[in-house]
Amino acid sequence: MKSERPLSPHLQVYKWQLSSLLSITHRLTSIINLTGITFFALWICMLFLGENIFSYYEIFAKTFIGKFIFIGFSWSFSYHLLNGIRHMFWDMGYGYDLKVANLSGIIVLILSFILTFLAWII
Amino acid sequence: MNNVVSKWLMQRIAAVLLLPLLIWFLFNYDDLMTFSYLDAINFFDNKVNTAFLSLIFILAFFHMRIGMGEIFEDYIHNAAIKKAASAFILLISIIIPLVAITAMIILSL
Repeated sequence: MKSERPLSPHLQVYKWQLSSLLSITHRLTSIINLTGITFFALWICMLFLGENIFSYYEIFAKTFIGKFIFIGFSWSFSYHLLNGIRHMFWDMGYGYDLKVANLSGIIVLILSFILTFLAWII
Repeated sequence: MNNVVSKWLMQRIAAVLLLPLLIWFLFNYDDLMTFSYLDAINFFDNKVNTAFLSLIFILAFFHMRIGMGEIFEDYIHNAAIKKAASAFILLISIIIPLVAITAMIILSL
């Protein structure tokens, strides 16, 4: 059975709200994290292959794009980790009240930037 | 416990175990990514670092495989494509940790 109808969870027809935006961001960051950890595995492989190969990585790491990507991965890890804690409270049955859910979402969003900042300055 | 419930639980257990490890990783990541060759080699001289990173690779890819399964369940409605996508994820969730952990162990010998 083929159809052109949008697939669940119908992203195209939802009215955008904070709760749905944060939820889809959780999934997006999961895919970014997979890319990030794969990139990190590549870094390990380049290190393993020796100084000559690793020097190509070092050139990349010094570029603006390189730094932007690393800080981006840090934020993605931070967000997914913090929102994961929020999910665990839901799994235990807490935090479903609309006001609480919105507030915890805003807290997670703010903390994700603070955590990224702390990780890079400490 | 049925299969779906046990997957759900396993993913949460992996997440809880990953939590302290990833906070450790997050505060080392900025150093690692800007390390020189010698700094990076020295990092793996410490076997605790290799052990923590190995655990992260195993748990993260285990957690990821279940999570990706959920995403495929929601967005891929063609059974054959879903099966192929799941097989691909299973493959990388074995190969990537295996290669990374083997390389780290040799580096820390």
